[in-house]
Amino acid sequence: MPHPPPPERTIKIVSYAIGALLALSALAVLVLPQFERVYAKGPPNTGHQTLACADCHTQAAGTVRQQLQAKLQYWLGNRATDASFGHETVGNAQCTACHLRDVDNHPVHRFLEPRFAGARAALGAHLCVSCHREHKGVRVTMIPTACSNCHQDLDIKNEPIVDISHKQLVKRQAWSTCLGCHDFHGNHRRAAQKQFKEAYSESTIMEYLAGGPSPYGRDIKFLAKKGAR
Amino acid sequence: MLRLPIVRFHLAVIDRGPRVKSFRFEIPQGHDEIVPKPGQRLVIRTLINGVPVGRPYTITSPVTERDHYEITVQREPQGFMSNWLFENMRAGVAIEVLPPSGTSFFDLADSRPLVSLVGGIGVTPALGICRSAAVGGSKRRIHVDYSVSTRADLVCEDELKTLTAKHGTVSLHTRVTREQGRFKADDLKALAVELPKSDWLICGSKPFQFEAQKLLLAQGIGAQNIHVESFDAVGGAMPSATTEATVRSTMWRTVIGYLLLAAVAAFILQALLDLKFPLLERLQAKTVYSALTGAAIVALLVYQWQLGYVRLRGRIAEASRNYGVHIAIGPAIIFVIWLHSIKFGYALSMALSITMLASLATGAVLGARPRSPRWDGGRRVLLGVHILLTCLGSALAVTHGFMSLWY
Repeated sequence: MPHPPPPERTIKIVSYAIGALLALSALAVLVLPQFERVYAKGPPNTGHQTLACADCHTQAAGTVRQQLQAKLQYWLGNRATDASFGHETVGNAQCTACHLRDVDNHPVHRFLEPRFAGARAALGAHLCVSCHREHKGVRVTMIPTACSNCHQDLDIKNEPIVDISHKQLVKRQAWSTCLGCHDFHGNHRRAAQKQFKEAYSESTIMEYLAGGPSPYGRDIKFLAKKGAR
Repeated sequence: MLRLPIVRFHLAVIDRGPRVKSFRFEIPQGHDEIVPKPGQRLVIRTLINGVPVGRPYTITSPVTERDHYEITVQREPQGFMSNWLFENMRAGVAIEVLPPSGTSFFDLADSRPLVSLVGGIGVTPALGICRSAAVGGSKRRIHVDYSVSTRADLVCEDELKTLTAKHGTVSLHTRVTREQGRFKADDLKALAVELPKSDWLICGSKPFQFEAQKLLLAQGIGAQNIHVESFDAVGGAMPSATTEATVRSTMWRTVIGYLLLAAVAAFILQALLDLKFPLLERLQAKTVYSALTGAAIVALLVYQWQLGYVRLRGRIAEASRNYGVHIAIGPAIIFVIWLHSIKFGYALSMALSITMLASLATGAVLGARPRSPRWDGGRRVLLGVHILLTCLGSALAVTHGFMSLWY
């Protein structure tokens, strides 16, 4: 009569069997299209909740074999440009597909000008995702003092603020106050405050950047396209 | 190349149980002047698939027996030598036999009692000692406390009972652990009171040895009176491990286990408190860094699976070595996970983090708490949970890794 397996070995075998079943079940569930969002690095940013993954993550050209071959050739120095594996890198094209505006105070293409080399190097200001990193569950990921990169030498001839000058604010390094009056992309129909004391508080701005209500109002010049793709 | 005294096996193979046989073979030339001591062993060598393989086996024949040697062997599923012996020991087969050796032997003329705590196939030294005592008419008091999982595992029970009936100095207590449980501190205390100033021989599996040593030391038995015949299921009787060495290795496992638990707690705390590590966060935003640290985690996980693999294949000796490395790698995994991501992550990543942290925590507790009868039930449940979480965590880790590159 063969020996019955010891209980510990039985427990191990049963655990491996259940674990393997559980792992396979999890994998089976994960490949369902309804669960594609679970692969995301984080929650969608403000306003992106209804987007599908494929709206931004487009399939890379070629088959998997071709993609790997192209990468290998690039690493070996036989190919000038790198190739994407799986999906293309998300860039400005995916953002402007919905957010292209005729008028923008700070369009990303402006930062391609040579004079903004510093801003490009410091902030990556020529890329939408430098300020709006996706899958963070917020509206803006850039620190609100980034204006200092380009506006240190600010000199306004006709000072619009009555209770303090822009020059004094720059001198005080009060960069966290800029967004209290200025809508960065200028996409709201409104005029900037004339008095510094009327500026929105830093906490209000921070709340807005984090995805909270807009202090600039709801009158939008260019609405984001829905289902641009 | 076989160079030692070669014997032609021609005597007998005796069935002792479903997986246990005794092999009797002639005493090789050159051993004529050597009288083995009760409890000593022989190293048997032969060529298996062209590879010289040697294993030590306790002599179970009486030491005064000059016609033959007997060894008693349990067949292990992956046992190199035991399978060879079971399949090839027939008349005319040549084996090498080294002279009797081993330091766990006992003088049967000694006035002090000898208590043998033996488990499973670890009964072989006690069997050889009892047979030697019976044949030689030893006056030494010998008690055998023989533990087996099931009644079917008992080897030579009838013979041992007959020996105890005929020789008043020899006594036997069999213990079927699935029915009666393992021996407890009170059992050993009673034996220590009944047989004071005894020598204690321990022979059984590693957990059996550890538990027996721990309980004996707790009873105030001096380490010099505790003799461990370390018994390995694959290789047979191995050189004696000292009490000190076993305790030290257990102590290190405990230290590493608690260290890992503390590291898991620290990881959870820093993630919940949202502590900032600017340099690390800048690195973690880079794809190449994430890919490298992720690959390191997967490599460590794959290495951890080696223990499960060798155990499942029944390679017990290898598993024993791997176990130490398996425990030591735990803190390295949590450190590399932290280097990879200081946060719990989102959706799949969060499920993966929680699964891996739980797997590490259960593994840490298993490593930190030595086996004991009281903890045995809980330990087995925790072991099952650890394996289950590791299976799930590994699948999620591979999925996460692939999807991170795919998107």
